[in-house]
Amino acid sequence: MLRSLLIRLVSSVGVFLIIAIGLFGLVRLAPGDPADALVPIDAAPGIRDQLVQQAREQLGLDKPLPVQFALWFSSLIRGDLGYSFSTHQPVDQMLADRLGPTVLLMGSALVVGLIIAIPAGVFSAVKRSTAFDGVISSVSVVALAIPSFFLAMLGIYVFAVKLRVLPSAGMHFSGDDSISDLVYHLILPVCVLALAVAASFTRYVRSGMLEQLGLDYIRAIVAKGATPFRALMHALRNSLIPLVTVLALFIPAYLAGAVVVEQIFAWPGMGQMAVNALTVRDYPVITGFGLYVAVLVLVCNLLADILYTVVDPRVRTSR
Amino acid sequence: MPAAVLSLNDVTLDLKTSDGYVRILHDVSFEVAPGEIVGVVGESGSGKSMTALTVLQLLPPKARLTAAQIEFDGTDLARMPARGLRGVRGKKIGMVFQDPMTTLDPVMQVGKQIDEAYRIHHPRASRAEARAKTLEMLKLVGVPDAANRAKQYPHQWSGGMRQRAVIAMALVNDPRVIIADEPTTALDATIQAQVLDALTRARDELGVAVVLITHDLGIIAQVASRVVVMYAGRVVEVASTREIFADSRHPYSNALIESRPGAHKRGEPLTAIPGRPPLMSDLPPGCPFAPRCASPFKSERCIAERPALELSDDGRLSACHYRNESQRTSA
Amino acid sequence: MTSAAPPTVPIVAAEMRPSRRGLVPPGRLALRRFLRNPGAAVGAIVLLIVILAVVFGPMISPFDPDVGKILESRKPPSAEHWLGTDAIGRDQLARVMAGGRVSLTIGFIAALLAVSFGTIVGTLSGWFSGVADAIISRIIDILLSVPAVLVIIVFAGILGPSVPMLIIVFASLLWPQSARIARGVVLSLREQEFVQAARVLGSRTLFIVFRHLIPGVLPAVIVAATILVADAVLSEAAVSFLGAGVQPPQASWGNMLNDAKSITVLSSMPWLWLPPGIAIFATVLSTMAVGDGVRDAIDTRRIG
Repeated sequence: MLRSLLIRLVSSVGVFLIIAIGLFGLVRLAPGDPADALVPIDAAPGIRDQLVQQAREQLGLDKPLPVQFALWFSSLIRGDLGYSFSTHQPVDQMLADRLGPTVLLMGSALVVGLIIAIPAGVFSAVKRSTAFDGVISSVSVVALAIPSFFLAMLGIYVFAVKLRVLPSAGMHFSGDDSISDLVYHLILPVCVLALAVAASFTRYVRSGMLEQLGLDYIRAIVAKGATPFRALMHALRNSLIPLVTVLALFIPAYLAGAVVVEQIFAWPGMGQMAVNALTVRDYPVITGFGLYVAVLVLVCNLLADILYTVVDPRVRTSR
Repeated sequence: MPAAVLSLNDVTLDLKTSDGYVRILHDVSFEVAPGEIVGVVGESGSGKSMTALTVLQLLPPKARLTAAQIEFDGTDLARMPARGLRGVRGKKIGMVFQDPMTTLDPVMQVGKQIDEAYRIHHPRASRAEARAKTLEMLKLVGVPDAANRAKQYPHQWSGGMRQRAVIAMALVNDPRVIIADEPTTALDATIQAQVLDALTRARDELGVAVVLITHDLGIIAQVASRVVVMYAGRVVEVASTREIFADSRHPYSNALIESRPGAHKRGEPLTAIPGRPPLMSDLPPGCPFAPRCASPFKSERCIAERPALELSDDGRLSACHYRNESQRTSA
Repeated sequence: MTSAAPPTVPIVAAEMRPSRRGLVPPGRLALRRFLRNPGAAVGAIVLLIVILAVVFGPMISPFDPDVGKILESRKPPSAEHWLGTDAIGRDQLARVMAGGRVSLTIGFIAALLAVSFGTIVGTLSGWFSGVADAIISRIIDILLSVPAVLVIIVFAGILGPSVPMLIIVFASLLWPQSARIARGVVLSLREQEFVQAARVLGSRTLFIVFRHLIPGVLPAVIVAATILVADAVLSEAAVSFLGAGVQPPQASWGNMLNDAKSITVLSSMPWLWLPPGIAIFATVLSTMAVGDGVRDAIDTRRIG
């Protein structure tokens, strides 16, 4: 078991390498000559050519491609991702700064979403085929079909514009660093994201519970004299085990959703950074973001593998 | 016999199907004396498992109990509210189901599940107290190295041991009756002995009565003192084990005995009971067994008139018009 | 962000089934069941309306979705402009229909490519098993967790946004879903007796594949296709909204919502952002309803 995990780890590193090469190649394919971009346009033609040549040497663009890649990759490993074309900040610094707000947003929405999804899923399963179940299922389906940014617009329209109870953008009102202000700004974006989380996971919890409740051991637990609550807890525990793996694999898609929400709410997270960079073709930032996503996907897959073996006692204890 | 510890009277059960309600059990009645092992035997579909579930009201939602009186410990279980039933289940009446692999929670340690059975009914008990009781019961049913084994998960135990764990779980609160629904059916013949052993030990050392549901007469012969034979949702004969085997008073009982692989000498062909059990939604007006009955006494009366479960002249309980004649066609 | 329900593999009948009206071919039985399902029937109607509007609308409309008259700008819905006009004076209804064409075309093409490729890979992988199957399964698992939106952001940020790139990336990241479903069906069918019988009788592998596997795989794949279309449409909307997809002046439901995200538009010109949003929602919802309906209709576990 440990051996297969090790194989996964090694292959993940391999995949990362391939992706790094891919991104490097992609940037080289992109239109525009970075050396040319560094030199002012209005310099005299003769001098300009010299300056461009100098810039090229400085950037290492005259060396053969594999060497360029090796240089770039080695600085990558050390955490140096270059400098943003637009903000001139170090990219790794930008990523670090932006990570916090994104994690805050995603984390809060995940917690809220699960707090809604688990009881909703359990009740749907227990009250199967009743009106309650029908309502929850319909609401889930509707929530999955609405694009999150449209939902956000509706939310802003109702709560920020018409009712004026919530702010429509940003993480803080300027000058206000308090927690309550933060929470105030968090409410709307978290609700939008959490709804999407809840819609997906309610269905998973419901089907997991339905499967467990049909199994013999539940009947045996009732025959032991257990209350319905205790039996439900047994079923819930069993159905949550595969869910943990699903959750790990859900995170990259979840980040995609967060990117969109950040854009609408002008939330200063990684999503906003990526979209801004996209608009101005800020290659270093985009590349940094791409690598971050690649690492996230690989780590989440590894995490799912590990969780699968650790969380389920059946897998954990079989040799 | 001494006052029965459990007594079923006129249990009648309907089950909802796509064609409306179908009667699955018709006036099932029998008694269980303290400390005895009673076998309930019949083919698949005879209603024996449903009878077992009815006692503790563990029926599926599509089932409707139209009439019943289930006397236990001075009360009628059929009329007991859910709260009261929870006090009986697992405490005064224990239940053992057929497939031990699916009966135990796969992600909880075996010991903890038995502890749980104890602590449900003794909420103020300490963990140590519960575990002591668990280990005591596991030893009783013959599980080796109980203290260490208890920390394992069900998939790490063999089938026979798992079933014994389930029996231990049913015994942990000193019940007066255990209902075992086909406890050996999912196990190899060689393992069956271990499970039966556990049940007999429970009877001998704890005085527990056992209602043993099975389709295997061989098991009945080994451990049961009395037998209830069921067919098409009805009780067709009740007698002691010896009486049934030597001198059964119902053709179905006889046919069951005859169809055992061990009933014939080597080289002789096996006798299966011809035909199939009737559909409960389509019962004939007369004796339900008549279409398949091979008794020499069978007559027109059998096809026209349904026999009631009555005492014969010499005190034998049977639902056959010819209950006064021995139905054993071969010794 | 789109997550389908936990994947269920329907058990499908390949032969005639008995029903109250005698023997009926499974296709017709399924169709009857589908039409009796209210959600699915309504969904199919809505989807049909959307497709018709999007295909024929731009031909009928007198307005040009890409060019507007400044004097007509920012007008609310009226008899002349049923959905009003946008900031440059373009007719909103024409834009919604033109945008629908783009969004749906991208969605359908991507889904079609993904389903075709995925079904073939999944079927072959499930049938032949072995090391290749293990590797493909692993690839499927990893690809399933890669979000299309983020990949497109990266590509668009480096190479510039383009519609063909959108379709390729969507197709590349959606095929694993249908591959997994097809593989699941093949794995369960493979163990069934009629397939084993065919093998014993010596039928050539390819023959088995076509005669026995495809009828079983096809219905499940149709269900998968609806999920993929819904996924693709939502993803295209998100990506265009972020500016990495269809570029203005070409309309797409996603970028129409982008144009409308400023507070002024949001609060005072609802006709600019409600229609495209509702259009996306209606399309995706009806596609999902049709998918659920098809799945319930063909699932033999629910006979009777």
